[in-house]
Amino acid sequence: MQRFILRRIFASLIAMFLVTIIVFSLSRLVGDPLAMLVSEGGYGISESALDIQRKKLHLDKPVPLQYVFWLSDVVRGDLGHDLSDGFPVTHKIREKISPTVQLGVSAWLIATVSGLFFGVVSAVKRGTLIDYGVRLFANLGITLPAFYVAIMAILIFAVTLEWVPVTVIGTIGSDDPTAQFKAMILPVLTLAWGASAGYMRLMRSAMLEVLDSEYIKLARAKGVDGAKVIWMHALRNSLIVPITVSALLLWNFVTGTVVIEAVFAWPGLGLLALEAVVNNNLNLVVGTTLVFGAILITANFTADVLYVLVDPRIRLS
Amino acid sequence: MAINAQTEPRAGEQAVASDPLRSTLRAPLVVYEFLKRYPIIWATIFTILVILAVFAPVIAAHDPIRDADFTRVRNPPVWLEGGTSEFWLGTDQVGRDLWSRLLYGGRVSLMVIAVAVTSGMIIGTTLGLAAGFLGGVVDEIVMRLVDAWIALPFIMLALVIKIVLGTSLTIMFFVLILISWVGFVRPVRGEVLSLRERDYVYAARVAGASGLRIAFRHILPGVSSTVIVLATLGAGGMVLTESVLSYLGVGIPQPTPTWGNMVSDGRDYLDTAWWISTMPGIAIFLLVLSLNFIGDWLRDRWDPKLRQL
Repeated sequence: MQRFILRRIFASLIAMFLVTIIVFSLSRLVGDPLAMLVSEGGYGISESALDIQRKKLHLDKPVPLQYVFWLSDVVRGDLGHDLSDGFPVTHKIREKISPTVQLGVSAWLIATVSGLFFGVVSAVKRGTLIDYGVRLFANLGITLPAFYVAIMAILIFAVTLEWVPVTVIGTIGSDDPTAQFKAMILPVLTLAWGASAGYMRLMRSAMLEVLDSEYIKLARAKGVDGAKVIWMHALRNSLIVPITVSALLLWNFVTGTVVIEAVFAWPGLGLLALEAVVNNNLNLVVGTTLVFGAILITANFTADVLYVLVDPRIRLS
Repeated sequence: MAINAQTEPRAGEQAVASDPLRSTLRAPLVVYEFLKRYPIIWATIFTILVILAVFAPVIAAHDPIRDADFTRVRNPPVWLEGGTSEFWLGTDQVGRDLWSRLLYGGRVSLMVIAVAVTSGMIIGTTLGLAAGFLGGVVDEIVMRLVDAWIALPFIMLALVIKIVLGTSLTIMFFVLILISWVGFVRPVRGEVLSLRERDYVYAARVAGASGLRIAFRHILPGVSSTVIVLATLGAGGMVLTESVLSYLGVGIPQPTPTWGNMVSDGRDYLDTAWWISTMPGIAIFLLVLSLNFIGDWLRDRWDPKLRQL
């Protein structure tokens, strides 16, 4: 088991390393990064000033060496400066990270709990109205684009019914918990739907398979209580599939987070990056990309650890 | 999922069906089951969408881009008060015919499927084939790459690419291919690992076939059903991704109509002109739904092992 965990830690580090390489190479596709600072028709910058900047940012060195310099800065937590106002990128990201975590974690919790629960219910009650309801809900969740759901939710619940505010501007991080809660309902639930739908489908098919296996039949034949068979004996084994596939769900979830932040004007990392794109603010976007990458890798690692806890075959081998 | 629906009903289900109230409630479920089991319906919808998109220049009565007219801004669809049959789905925020724009937007979505999915399929299948067939170092490298790739926050990469390269149709394809290949590798590799131990492969080897010939002539056909199922299931995801990127403004640039940026156009007019966002939203929904149903059906037919995807 320790070997497995160590291997996963090693794999995570390699993944993070590859992420930095890919992000760095993409950001150098532009040719001369300084060209972005001197936009056409902008303020004149003399050649000598550019040269000084070039030296300062190590742009006079070969690209692999530039990567080494860049990486050593990144490892020390220096992601460069915002190209528009000169603030350190790390500072800006730290400010925006908590709203994103707040949105992501609450949506992910709702998605996993509801997805796993209704997946089990749907499998156990196969062929009933509940089952079809869950499957319809799940199919819609993976078919409808998140931004469209969000827009429709705003139209229905905020504009027409006026139950909740249209945007979250001014409420997130404010002192009024009721207003904050009301503003969070739509973004969190629309974000949770997609991942929840994925878990429902996976959980349902895994559970059906497990319910059909010999050891469940034995438990039933021994006279174990029906609910106990499902929630104690069958659940644990059927969790394996959803956990192994959760990397893919997380991938979509990150996209969903950025989209939901855009639609609801949620003041988080995704919105920060989208605004930075409008201003061609490369450093800021690269910084948020790395942070999202680190979050994804950590989440995947957590899934691996859970996998070990759930599946004794790995723990004991 | 459909496989389970095809097995014999359990005792509990028969009891449910005999209850008269429950059986009326089951009517929509029967429809749903029917839709799942006979994908011809979805195949038809998909074909209609393809035909509409391909013949958009013939069908569309108006120019999708240059036909702005501020005397007919945000006209409602024909069935609402104030709608005209000339613009039967209504007009957008600058007075362009929504129907014509939808038709042209569909061309983009279908082109995305064709290019991104096909290229991703070729790249992913080749890598999966190489990893499974060659094994060893190649296998290790490819699989580590796949692991790392899944940890990439792809949406953020799209933003980085937007800044350094800008936006265009070609860049959009590049971005989509970046993600479309990765889903093919693992299943194809798994399939190849079992196929390469088959007797017919040994026979081919004994007969003197080269490694390349065995890989492409003897093993590749064996994974083709898996690949086709994955491609169909992935195609819906590609359409969604394209629309998300266009919606966020990092996809295909205006003024080219795509279903994603059309939804985004209507964002500010939800209360006065809901149809601007809703019509393209429904179009995306129909396309993705038909692809998913066709994919599910193919999977159950050809490759039930992939059910957990």
